[in-house]
Amino acid sequence: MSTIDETRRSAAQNTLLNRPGGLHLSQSTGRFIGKVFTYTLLTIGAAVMFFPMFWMLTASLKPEWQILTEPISIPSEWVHVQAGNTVQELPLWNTTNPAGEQEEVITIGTRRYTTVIDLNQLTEDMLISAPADALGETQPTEVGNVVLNVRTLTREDGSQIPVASLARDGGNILVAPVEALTAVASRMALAEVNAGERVTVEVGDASFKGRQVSDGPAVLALGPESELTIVGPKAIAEQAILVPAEVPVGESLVPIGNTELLHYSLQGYPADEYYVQLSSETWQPVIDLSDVNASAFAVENARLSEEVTTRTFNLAAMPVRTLTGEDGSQAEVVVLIRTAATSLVIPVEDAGSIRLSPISRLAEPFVLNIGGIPVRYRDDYVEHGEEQSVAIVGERLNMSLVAPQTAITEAFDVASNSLTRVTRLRLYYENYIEALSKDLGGATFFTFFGNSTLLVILNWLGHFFSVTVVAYAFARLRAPGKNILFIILLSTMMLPWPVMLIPQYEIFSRLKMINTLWPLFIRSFFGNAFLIFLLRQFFMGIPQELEDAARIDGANTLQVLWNVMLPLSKPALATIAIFTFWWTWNSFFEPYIYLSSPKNYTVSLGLGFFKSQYRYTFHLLMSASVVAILPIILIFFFAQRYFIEGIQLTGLKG
Amino acid sequence: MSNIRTRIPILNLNPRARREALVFYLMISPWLIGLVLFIVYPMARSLYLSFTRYQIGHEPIVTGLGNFNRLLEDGDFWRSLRVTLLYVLGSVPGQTAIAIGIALLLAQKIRGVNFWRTIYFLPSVVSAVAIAVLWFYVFNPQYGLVNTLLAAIGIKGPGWVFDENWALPSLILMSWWTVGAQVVIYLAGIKAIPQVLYEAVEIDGGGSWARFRHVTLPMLSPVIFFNLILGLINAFQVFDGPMVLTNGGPNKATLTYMLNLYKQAFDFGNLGYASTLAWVLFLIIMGLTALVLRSSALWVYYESEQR
Amino acid sequence: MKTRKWSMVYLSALTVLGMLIVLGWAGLSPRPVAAQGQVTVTLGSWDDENGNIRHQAAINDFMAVYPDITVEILPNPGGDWHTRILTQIAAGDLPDVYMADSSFVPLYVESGGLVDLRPYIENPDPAIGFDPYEIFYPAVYENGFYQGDPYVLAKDYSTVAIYANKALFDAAGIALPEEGWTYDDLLDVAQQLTVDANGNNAASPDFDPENIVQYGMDHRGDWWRGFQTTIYSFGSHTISDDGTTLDGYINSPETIAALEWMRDAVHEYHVAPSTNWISALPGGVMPLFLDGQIAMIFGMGPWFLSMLEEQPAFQYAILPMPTGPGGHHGAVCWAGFGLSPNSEHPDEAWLLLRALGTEIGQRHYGEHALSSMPIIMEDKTDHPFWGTFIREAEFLAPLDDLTNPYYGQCVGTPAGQQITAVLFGDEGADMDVAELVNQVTPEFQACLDNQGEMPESGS
Repeated sequence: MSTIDETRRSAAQNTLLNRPGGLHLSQSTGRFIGKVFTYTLLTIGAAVMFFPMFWMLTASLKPEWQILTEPISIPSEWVHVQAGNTVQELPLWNTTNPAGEQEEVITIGTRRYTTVIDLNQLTEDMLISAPADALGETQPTEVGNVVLNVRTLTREDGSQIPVASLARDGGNILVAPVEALTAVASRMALAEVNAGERVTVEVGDASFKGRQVSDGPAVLALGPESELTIVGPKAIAEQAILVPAEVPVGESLVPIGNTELLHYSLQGYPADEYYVQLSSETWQPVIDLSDVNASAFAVENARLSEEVTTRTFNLAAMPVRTLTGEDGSQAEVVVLIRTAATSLVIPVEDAGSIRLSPISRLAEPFVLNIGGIPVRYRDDYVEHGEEQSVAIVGERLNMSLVAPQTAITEAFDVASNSLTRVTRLRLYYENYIEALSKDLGGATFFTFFGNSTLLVILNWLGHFFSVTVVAYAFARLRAPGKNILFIILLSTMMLPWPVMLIPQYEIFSRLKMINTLWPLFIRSFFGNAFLIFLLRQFFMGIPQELEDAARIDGANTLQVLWNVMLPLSKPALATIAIFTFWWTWNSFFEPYIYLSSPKNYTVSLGLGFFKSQYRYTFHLLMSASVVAILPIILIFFFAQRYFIEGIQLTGLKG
Repeated sequence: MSNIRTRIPILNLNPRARREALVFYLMISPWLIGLVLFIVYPMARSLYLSFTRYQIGHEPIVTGLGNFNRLLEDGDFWRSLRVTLLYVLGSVPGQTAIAIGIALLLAQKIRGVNFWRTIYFLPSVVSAVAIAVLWFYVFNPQYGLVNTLLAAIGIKGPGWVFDENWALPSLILMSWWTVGAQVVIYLAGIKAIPQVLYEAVEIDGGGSWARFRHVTLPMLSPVIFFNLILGLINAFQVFDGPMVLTNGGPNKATLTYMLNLYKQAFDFGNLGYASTLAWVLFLIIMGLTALVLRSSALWVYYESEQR
Repeated sequence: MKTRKWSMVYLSALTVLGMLIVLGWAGLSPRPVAAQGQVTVTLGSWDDENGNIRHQAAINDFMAVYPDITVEILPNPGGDWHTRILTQIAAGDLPDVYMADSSFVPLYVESGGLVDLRPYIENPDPAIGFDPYEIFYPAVYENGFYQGDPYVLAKDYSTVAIYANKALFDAAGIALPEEGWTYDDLLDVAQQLTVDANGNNAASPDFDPENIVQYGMDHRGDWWRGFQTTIYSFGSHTISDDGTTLDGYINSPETIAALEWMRDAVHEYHVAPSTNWISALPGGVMPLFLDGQIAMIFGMGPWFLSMLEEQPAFQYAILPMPTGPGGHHGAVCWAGFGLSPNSEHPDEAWLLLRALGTEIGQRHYGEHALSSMPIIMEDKTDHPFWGTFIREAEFLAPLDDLTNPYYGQCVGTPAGQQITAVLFGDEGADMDVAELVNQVTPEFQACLDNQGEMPESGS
């Protein structure tokens, strides 16, 4: 008869049978272990579930580059040191100095080396053609003063000798004993090797594709390659000076540690002073945009002198011409931008803010129209930590940052791959400011918040109105056809939405509702199958007697619904509110199809602004996403008790 | 023999019942109107379109069963059906087990229950755009979280969403993450189980397993059934994950039914054929739901049965 | 008493609804009520917010010339632009002027979503028409053609070239290749720039393909448009000129040779990572390139200039595409503006389209991509970045995508996924290229044939 009774009985039997005799944990210990178990599971589960939010939070506080390359790390920034009195900054690296201490350094030069053999000294009797399976694993080994890729060759008689491979020989590999190679091998800079002409050298039957090094032998690069970087204390950066790229001349190699460094003398400086190059980059003359707006003007090229002189403003070389005014007066002007017919010029005395900037700070400029001349500019250009507006003028220049050789006495060499960037913790909270204040097609994120909130309220209104009425009818009233209608209601939950998308779009289009919020809330006034179902279930759980009492008092159906059912259904209404909020807030596809003007966009749609065809702006996307999900989290946190009480599925049957 | 009264049921009722029926129809009228306007009409139109060749920007041309014949020979149709079935088989049982597990944990007497529940609900509320970026990195073969962790214990992780064989399992894993709504419904179901039943088992000396096996599970079976049906319907229509994360790739390994349908409609502009696909999917879902309904008698426990 | 309360609720609900309807028509309606004599035209843009700032700058210049016309940008927040356009074509709700990807132009034309621009362009009134061959690069202009008629004017475009990490070239002492280099040279350079954990490059017999720390090149994964450049350069096309037949083109010996070359580079010479290794990061392999893990990548994209230039001290070079057995041929990536047939103000919309496609717009768009107008590009031909991309334009072959409205959906996308991504992925190592291609060709052909005979449009 009663399933529950059976359940009880069998449960009792099972547990009696299963319980090992003698092992009786006291109840409190058992409970304690249960608690520990529960909390451990909870914590592990929570860690897994919380991960997305955690990741979004950290990502929202990172600069863009760090999201791309270091997805799971602490938000941090690279540390730089200013180069002399220029606006350029040099990256700092961590390394271990010869004294064995950790030190922050700048890099001065890099050279890549390989091991070569002199092909002219290679003789036929050194060569062995060995099948690959007779050769052991490659082991880079220092032999004499070179490093060779040493393998163990097992000969047919079972004896083993160390060899290094020279070339592929069909399916075999051509090797030579390490012993024989040490005499002909040497270490050579890869740049030197590859600068040589390609040559083919025959040794017996074998032919080798090597390089003819200038003033040297024909060599074959065997590898392994290694790279050494010369680094020095960051104080060197203070002595850096910026010079045009053609100024360093007469390069010569000077040994430092196990490698060499290029030294230059500078044109126009004493010939016996040597310099090293810290970096070489493209720089761009810029001028304060305010100066352009105040003093620059467009003139016809005909009014400018043919003759042009070059004048340097803060290292930026600019063309200067003579302008003849309409009254015949003459003035010297700097030509900022020259097009086919006209030029943008500024009087020499107003050109003081012309200076150089590394192009890395000027990428993707915008264009402004001054007197018919397009002027490229950036209004977020940063110089010495300050944001300013500059116009991009004149020609790009290749510049070198150099430091006197006397400054690098403490330089040393390290393997390139042992260097790591110096970073420090930094939370990029600006991401939030930027994401929220950014102009997104004439609107900001707050507009989207407003629209989403409006939609939520309208959908709430719609659902509270329609769902309660319909659910009550299905829960309490009797009518022919009700069961069929209820099955239809349930089956509408399983309709594939793309079927209806186009016809629905046509309807809204005919109603002139495209690019309005209408299609996104009007349907809620006509009910929602899932919510109607949930509320009906809840209504069914409310005792009929309460309703009957009200009826006896003469209440009509709507009064019963309003005065009896709804006050008892607060949890279910909270559930409807949460589901409605959730769907409205996160819906992406429908707003995407129906809305086109940014002023009508919703939050989830607005997030899409940070993801374009070619590029994501992850840091902004993540900070905007965090802000976007906050309302849902808050609502769920405070309403979740009602939420769960509101779902009544007891008495559920097909 | 029937007269007009028996054929139109509402006229066959006594005045009181007739009035009640009228009130019923009046009260459900918002839903009925919505049904006709936003569901029946679109469905009818798409049913008509499913028998036509209808390119965007042209008039539909009736082709009879042409679309259905094409469907039988369409490799992408069969492929997407296979992918979707595999997805359903992987995601629904996993989701059910995980959601029940979480619900059981959260139903315990624990401190800070709001906090815990909110955390478990979190993954379900992050918007699709952000989630796509997130999973890109979780499943990134080079930099991703999963492979970084695997590498730490010496295992070379697979290519996940970028590997033909692992892309679908990755999507299934993803679906296990977002069980917030199901958890809430299970939690409600567990909360509704009368405490006396547990006490009865305890009196009989039953442990936690017995409580689960003999009270929770049977009492929860209607909720499981409900969630299973919803889960099946949702899993058959899976779209967001494959759309934003893999776009059906690599090599169509995640071309789900809905994605294929969507591409037919909005990539090729082939609304007629897309409608055919939609109706076939509708029939498949209906059929499966009917099957599950049938099977429910075998394993779903209804309180009313004991009366 | 209680009844009254209920009627109040119903009444107020109805009132709210009524007010909303009124408000909706007045306040939320799509087109703002225009000032007297003022005409508003809309511009559909798929660009991100930076791109839209550029559009806005161009529009401001336009509105300065035509003060009676107001332009509103309708942007595309993240979703699939093509979907949106198709839906809007279906409902007759297109923006007056909108951006169209070259590969979808044929489909939009066939669906009745684009207007033939010839009557406007050839209008003798200089305020309306102009001579396109005088101001545009002819080849670029004609990329906006479908079946001999112009439907879109270029916004911007790009050729495909090779991005090289100059520091890695310098360290290895390899000179930067110049125009005329061949695919053999490319493989040779890539071998020298592929290095394993022991420091052995891919040419060395000691090379360990299991532990590569630096790859010589990438392979374009499922980017079919990018790979088309190689197919063209090996002397084939992927579809017949009339856009009907794949057989004999996509499976020609030359196409197969091109695929085999790249497949071998991945699996035999190990100079490019397998598809499975390359994560489909947004921006593709660019992050790996910037990180020094790949020495050369194929790229269109002046769109990536900002990413390159924002890296302080990152030294790059743009290399020309190599010459293949069939010569040096390129494929273009192209975006344009088209005109909606539903526009209420077609004449004003044309003025906007004309402005954006010619100097007013090109001044702005030419700032971060190639422009269709020689006059805009003339001062960039020596630019270290733009120069190569501009020169590549001389080698552009007619694009296969323009021959058939469904090339993109039926051939382009699936070929990327089912041919290149597979061959260059882990499974591709032992695959017979000809067999694979011959296996998928009938499927692609069936897809083209199924869309096939388009029903006659309204005309």
